Amino acid sequence: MTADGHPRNRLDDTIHAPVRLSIMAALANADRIDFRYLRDLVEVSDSLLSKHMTHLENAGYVTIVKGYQGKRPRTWFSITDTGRTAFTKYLAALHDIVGEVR
Amino acid sequence: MNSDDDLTPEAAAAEVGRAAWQVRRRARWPGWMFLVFAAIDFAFFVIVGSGNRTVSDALIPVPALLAAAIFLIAARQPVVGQDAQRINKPIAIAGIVTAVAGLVIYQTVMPQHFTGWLLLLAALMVSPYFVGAWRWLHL
Repeated sequence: MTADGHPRNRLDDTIHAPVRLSIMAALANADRIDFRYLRDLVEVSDSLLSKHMTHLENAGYVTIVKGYQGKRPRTWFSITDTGRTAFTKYLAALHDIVGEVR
Repeated sequence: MNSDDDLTPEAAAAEVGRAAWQVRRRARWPGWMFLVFAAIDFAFFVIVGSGNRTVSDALIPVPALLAAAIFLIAARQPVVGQDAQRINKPIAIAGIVTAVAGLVIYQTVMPQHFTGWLLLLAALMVSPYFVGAWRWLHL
């Protein structure tokens, strides 16, 4: 197997980072997720989550929608079609390395 | 979690599974909501259909209160499931259709007091919500 052919070379660096992987895995399984829930799920601070979401948004993998619930500001995150395709490819590469990934 | 940690493929696979499981579990709330809605609606139809005018009058606000409660609960949920539009909309439409059809049947051909037929009719009227609950809780 050549170096280029090894499945680890197909692991998308944008996704293959601990926090961003958790974010993508979560968003791939929902229509949309609230900021606070996602922050608690991945166990990071508000600022770190915002930083990673901006990174993913710049890559075209997620969309960020801000609004209000009553007077309370609320932020929703969703995965884009591009992000879903990238995550599916990432899972396929991961599958080739470690076996089946649910 | 530190963003600078190395991420082995094994750890990545485990994290994908963990996050997916947590989110899917949290996204199933409409299933529980449909179950509660079906139970309350069933009791409402049976009690109102049994013909006690005083009790029926007292229960008139129940459907409106239930609708308001569902709206508030739904608005507060932090996760909206992937299949929310595909499942919830047809269930809501079917629920309205069966409720209206049930009311017409009750007013036209049913005795206006408690019978076994009333239980059957009430069960049919809330059956779409049981279908919705089943679909969400078995995803």
